[in-house]
Parts: sequence; C-alpha cells; structure tokens
Amino acid sequence: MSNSAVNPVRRNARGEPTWLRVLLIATSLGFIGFMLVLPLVSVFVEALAKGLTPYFAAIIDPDALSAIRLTLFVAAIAVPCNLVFGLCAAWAIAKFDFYGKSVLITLIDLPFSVSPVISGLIYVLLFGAHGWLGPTLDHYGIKIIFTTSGLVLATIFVTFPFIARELIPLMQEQGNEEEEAAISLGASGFQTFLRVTLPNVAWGLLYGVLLCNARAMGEFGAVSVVSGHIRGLTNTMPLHVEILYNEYDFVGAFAVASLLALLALVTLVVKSLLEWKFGDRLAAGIKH
Amino acid sequence: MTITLSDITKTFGNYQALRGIDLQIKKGEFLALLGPSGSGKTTLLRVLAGLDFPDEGRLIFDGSDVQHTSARERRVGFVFQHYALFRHMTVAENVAFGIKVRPRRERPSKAEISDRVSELLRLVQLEKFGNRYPTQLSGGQRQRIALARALAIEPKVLLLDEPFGALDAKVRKDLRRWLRQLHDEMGLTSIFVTHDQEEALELADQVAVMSEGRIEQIGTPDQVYHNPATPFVFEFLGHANRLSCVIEGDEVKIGDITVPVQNISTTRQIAGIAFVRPHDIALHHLAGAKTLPVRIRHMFTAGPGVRLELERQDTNGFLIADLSHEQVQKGAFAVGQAAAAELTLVSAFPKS
Amino acid sequence: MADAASSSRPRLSLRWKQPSVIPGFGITLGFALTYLSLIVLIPLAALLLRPVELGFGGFWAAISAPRVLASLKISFGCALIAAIINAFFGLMVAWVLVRYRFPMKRFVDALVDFPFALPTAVAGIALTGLYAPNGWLGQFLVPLGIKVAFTPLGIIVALTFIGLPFVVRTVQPVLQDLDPEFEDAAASLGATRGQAFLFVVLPSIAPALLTGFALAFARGVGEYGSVIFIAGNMPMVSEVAPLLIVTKLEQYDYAGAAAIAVVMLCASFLILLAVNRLQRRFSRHRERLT
Repeated sequence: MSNSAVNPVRRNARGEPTWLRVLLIATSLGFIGFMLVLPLVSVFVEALAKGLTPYFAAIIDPDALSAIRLTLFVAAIAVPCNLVFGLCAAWAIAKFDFYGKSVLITLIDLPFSVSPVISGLIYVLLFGAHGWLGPTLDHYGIKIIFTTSGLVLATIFVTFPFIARELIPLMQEQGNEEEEAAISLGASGFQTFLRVTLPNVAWGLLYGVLLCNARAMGEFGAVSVVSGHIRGLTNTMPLHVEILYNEYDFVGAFAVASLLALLALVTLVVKSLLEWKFGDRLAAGIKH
Repeated sequence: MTITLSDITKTFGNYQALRGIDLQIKKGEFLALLGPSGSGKTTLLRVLAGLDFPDEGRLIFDGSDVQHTSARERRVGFVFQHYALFRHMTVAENVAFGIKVRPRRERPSKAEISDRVSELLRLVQLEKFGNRYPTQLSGGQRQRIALARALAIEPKVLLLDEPFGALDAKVRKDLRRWLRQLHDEMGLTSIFVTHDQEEALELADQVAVMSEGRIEQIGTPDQVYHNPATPFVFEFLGHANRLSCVIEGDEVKIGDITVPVQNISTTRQIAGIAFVRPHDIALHHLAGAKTLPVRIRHMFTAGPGVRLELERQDTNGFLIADLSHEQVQKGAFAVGQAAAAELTLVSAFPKS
Repeated sequence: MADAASSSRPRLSLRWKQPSVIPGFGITLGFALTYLSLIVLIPLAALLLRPVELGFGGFWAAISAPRVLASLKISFGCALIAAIINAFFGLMVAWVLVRYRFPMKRFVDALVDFPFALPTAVAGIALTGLYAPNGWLGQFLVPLGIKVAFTPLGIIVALTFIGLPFVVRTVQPVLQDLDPEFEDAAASLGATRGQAFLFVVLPSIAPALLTGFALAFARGVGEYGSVIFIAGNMPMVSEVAPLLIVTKLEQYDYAGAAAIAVVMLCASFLILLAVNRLQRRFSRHRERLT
C-alpha cells in the first residue's frame, strides 16, 4: 500500500476546468470525511459520552484489562513467529532460483484472499471437538480450540503474509552482490545475513512488523471462531468490544474500541512517517 | 600464486558460457580477459573466485585443487563491477569487513584493525574518507574503496570485474595508470575483465582474448595486436580492413596485386580474407606494382592524425586509412582525388 | 555451505535449483515450507476434505438450502455493489490525490489507509452507532425512509468502508506513472478533457482499477467483523455467509459450515481467475500499441 507522498502535480495547461477540479476535490473530501472521518470521530465521542470517569473505569475494568493483556500476549507470539518466517521465506525466494517459486509466493498471499471466518474455521476443523486431530489431542490433555493456543494459531495464519510480502520485493531488488562480496571476503552465511542483509532491509522489516502487529491486535473474525468467548480468559480486545456492545454497554464497548482506534491511528502515523522518510528503502518504493 | 585452469566448462540452462577453457597464469602476472559481452569473461572470473561453479574442468591454485574450497576460503580479492560496497557501513567499516569476520582466533585486535584500515586507505589515497558512506563518494572513489576492501584480506590473487566500466573517460585513464602502479608495487597476481581493448593492451602483461566462451588467443599485448591468431582477434583489437583474397604460399593476391603476408603459409591456393590495419596503408599519387587503385571519398581529423575513406576502384569496397597530418600535407591529398593504396602489413586467414 | 562441483563428470544442465555460493537455501526453504504446511496447507486440507463426508448429495443439499443460498446471495451481492461504489469513488479519490493540490492533502492520503488499519469490530460498532435510528446520521435518514442500520443497505455501507483503500492504492501508483504525453497528444489532436479521459486515461488504468475492484470485492465477500453489528443478521434478509458459517459451527454442524466455506473459496478463486484473464487481455492490447 503506497503513499503518493510528495508527488509533483502536473501543471497541465490543458487540464480540467477549475470548477470541475473543485467539484472533484470537494466530492472526494466529502466521501472520505463521510465514510472515514465520521466513524473515527464517533468512536471517541461515544466513548467519552458520559464523561472521563466512566471511560477510564471501563478501561481498567478487570475483564477489559485481561482482554488487553491477552491481545498483547497473542501479538507478542504471533509477530515474532511471522518475523522469522518472513525472513526465511524472503531469503529463500530472493536469493535463489528454483522451480516452484511462484507457487510458494502464491501460497504466501493466500490468507489475504480468505475470509477471516474461514481462517478460524480451518483450525476448528482440525483441532475442534469433531476435528481431525481434536479428539486425539484432547486425549492427551491438549486443547487448542477455545484456548489461547487457538487464538495464537488463527492470528498467525491471518498475519503471516505481511512481513514476507514486504521483504520479498525489497530483497529481490537489492540483489545478491553485497552478499557475494561479503562471502568472497570470508564471511560465513550467518555473518553475511546479520551484518549485510539485515541492515539493508531494516526499515522494510520495521514496516512489515508494524502492519503485522496492527492486524494481529485487531483481528476479529478468525479469533472469534476459535475463541470460547469466555470473559476474562479467552477474549481479546476486539472480542471484548463485541461482548460489551451486545450487552448494550455502549460506553464500555466504545472505550475499549477507542484504544484500538488509537492503535490504528498510531500505526497510520508511523507507517506514513516510514513511507515518507524511507520510501526508497521499502517495498512500496520499488517501481515495477 | 600460479593458477591453472583446465577444460573449464559452464552452462546456464541452454546457454554455454564457457567451453573448455585452458589457461595458465604465472605468479605476479597481470592478465586481462578481453572480449565482447557474452564472451564468458565475467563467468570465468566468477569461477576463479568461487562465486560460480563449473560443470566440468579443474581449477588449481599453487598446485592444489580448489574446486571444493568455498569462495569464503579461497582468499581471492574480488572487485565487483558495481563495487558492491555495503551501503549502510562507513568506508572504514567496509574496508575492515574482511578482517572483522575472521574467526576469533585469527582476528587482530581493534587497534590493529584500525591501523590496517588506515594503511589501506592511504594506499588508495583516501585517508580522510574513513567516516563517509559509499553514497557520498564519487564513482572513482568507490572503486578505490572496493579495491582497498579486497586487499584488506591479503588475498593471493586479485580479480577485478570491469573495474573501470562505469567511470568517465578521464577518471578511467587516471585509475588505470594508478592500478598498474599498484600492481607493480605489490606484485600480486591480478586478473581483470574488460571489453576495452585499449585498456587491456595498456595495462596487461598477458591478454586472453575471449569470444563465445572460448579463448581465441593468449599473448602479450604486442603479440595479440601484431600477430593475431584469428580474424576475431584481429578485428576486436582495432579497426581492420577486410579484403577478399587468395592465399598461396607466403603471399596473398588481392585484386590485381600480390603482397607478402606475415602470419600464414600454405602449400596450395585457398580463398581467404586479408586484414590490414588503417595505419598500415600508405597512400601515393601514382599507381605501382603493389598498389590498389582508390579514390579518396572522405577525410576527417581523428585526434593526432587524419582518417581517410578510400573507395576501391578495382572492385566494390572501402578502405580506411590513417595518415599523419604531415603526410597528408606533404602528399597534398584531397577529397575526390584518385590515389594508390599500398598495403604495408597484411595478415590473412582462410575463409571458413 | 557452498555447493561443490564435481571434477570432470558431465552434469545434467536441467536442475531444480541453480547452485549458488550464497548459503542457507536448505534451512530457509525448509523452515518456510514446514511453517506453511503446518499453518496453511494442513488446515486447508482439513477444510477441503470435510464436506466429503457429506457425499455429493449431502453436499449439494447443504449448500442449496434456502438459507445458505440467501446468505451467499447477500454476501456476494452486497460486496459487488460496495465494490462498484468503491471503484467509482476510489478512482475519484486517487485522481484527486495524484493530480491536484489542496490543503492537507498528505493527511488525506494517509487517511485512506485507515480502514485497512482499523480493527473490523471497531468499524462495525462505529458504523452501527452512526446509522442506528438514534445515531448521528440515522436520526436524519430514518425519518426520510432510508433505513441503513439492520438492513442490507447497512452491509453495503460497511463493505464500502472496508474496501475503499483497495481501489485507491492500486490505482494511485498507475496514475502517478502515467506519461502526460498521451493526454497532451490527445489534446493537441482536438480531444476534450472528457474524451481524453475516456479514451486515453481510462484504458491505461483499467487493469489497475479492475484489480482494485476485485480485491475490494473479494475482501467484502468474506467480511465479518464490520458487518455483523450493522447488518441485523436476520436469516434470508441480512445474514451474510460468514455469519452463517459461525452459526453452523456453534451448532456443531462442521460439515455444513465447511461446505459453505468451500463454496466461498471456489467463488473467490474463480473471480480472481477471471480478473486475471481480463487483465492479461488489457495488457496485451496495450502492448500491441507500443
């Protein structure tokens, strides 16, 4: 997802008449304002509708706190796992030539075309009470569905493409020369990776981690399917929002939602900063 | 270090990059691999470095087979065409890299590394640039840092891939001279790849002319220039006039004249192609026994001399001749004149 | 760990992988494949094989049940309409961002990614809050007879929100790289701006627009979190297919849920395939011109 950043506006003397420009700009801004800004603002307004005290009370409510903890915990596992995967997949794909590369790349893009509910469904079908492996694992006391492990698995599935997709085009564009130079100078594979490759992809990596994290913390559909919806135990923040909303605790729901909205805003800001300052060192900066 | 390559073959998919290369390189020699793109010269260099692997053949450094030695352990200094400097490291860190990645036992102390880096930077005349980043350097400076970095590991052989390809003409000339001086001081066996014949002839002790994966000829610059072994070598190393001829004994018959030829001798008549360098043509006003009738079609100043386009009057075809300004003035040659071209040095090869 | 070459045996020139001096192929590919198998392939296999236990008859009965068909119709139908809306407005937004200058443009540009970054549940409750009869917008719309919340119209609104970045972000780079020469040529030949846009600009960005449309559509079909709050979720009327899957799961009808999922996956796959074909046809046309 690329930002246009500062692009030179073409001073085309044969351009559109001014009234048309104004109309288009106004309509676009109106559309954005209506569809995007309004909902965003409403989250915060509704959260603070009854004042600051109920707002903070909702956030430090024990169930809310454990939902926050669980969200952070799941992200703390899913993101590093996907980081390692992303680096491995990008290294294999970018540095080597082999048959089946495009199949691998397609597989990596798979979660993007699958509904979140289906992303959760597949784990229920595998580990659920009537799943393939469910009864067997249950026999050994290992429960996946309705526990944290299921949440982690579903989150990993939904978010693993982010880092890989960021690193692959970046590493492909950077080529192999610096790595070959390092090896000819006597570096081992690991030294080459650590000292030469990693610093070169650092900003792309950060960008990918950022997006991966935002999605991991905000995932709803997949997590909803595998979670037991047990308050205080297997509810992440988005699930907690759902519960509160369904109980008509609007202030509570919007209060927790506002935290997630803040996370989204922070993600957007950091993302824009990275694109602006390091655009040429991100996959988005590569012209195809 | 002496290097021996025997029967090195390398294929990429359907494309044969190297076809049975045999090469011997003496210790301290400065060898140029000269050829057009696609001749396989860079592939050969990479095979020497261990960055590419031959399908067949043997590779021997100082008597030992190095094929199973990885690029990491071969101790070759490789200078890449586009330098491949580590963009996020300073110049000093780049140069120190090869030393820093050695196993702990072999690694010198920080102070020693720092000294060595300074010494190398001084050698390449960039002492004050240690803290700069590669993006802050000019092309020529980057080239020298790439060289310093390669020398830091005390390599047994230096391999340079089109070292001056991406540089301006003036920078190129200065660096050429400097590289040769460096080589003479250090006595390091060096092999460099180039497509610029002027560069190869100026710098190298030995030139290996390559074409389509084969070595056409190896010899001193003098040898390959004056005694080319194949038409390809002749034409690649400078402009060549091609004339159809018949080779018989030590002579060739071109048009109506017969001239001695210096590189070939046959027992019977064979059709062939004669090659004459532009500066091996002398121009006269009056026809003689050994001259071809021509008409001067075009004349222009080319650097230190004058280049003339001569249209053959006995058959179709043009000759390019290089004369000095003096000769043109003395002979009062002008465009449109009829003249007589004498071929003073002719090489010939059978038509294949 | 460099690949060693044999001394003088001739080698097959057909290789699965080119030998390389760069190490780590085995370990990185191995890890990536293992990871993918565990996380993606095996669970997907579980999904695709589950409906088998119904047999063909059972499978067909499961997916042709009226409620299922209705939910699929709603999911695909609403996603289609939302994608069309996004194609139109997304193109406009991309155009405005690339071609014009106006205050706070960079802010707006960054904002376009907002639906992509926002958790779907938050989007869901925010939109519901706005369009409910007593909401900021609902209070004006309902008296006019326009019911958004708890109707399919609400689903369309939610899916429009979700899909907006897809169209803008796929069209933007293409618009940016568009050579002004072509429009100038059209103008010099006497075309109006409208004609230049229709005959010069639009064909050039059509593949990107189509891709963005397809992505928004695919995303909309599977959307769950932002839809279930505003939809009303009444079976046959405003129940989307993902919700039906969840309902069946809660009833332990695993096979039924899997059957619907398989249908959705197949449909998405076919859509992407069709779009790919169309794209290739477009680019082939352009290649002939250049």
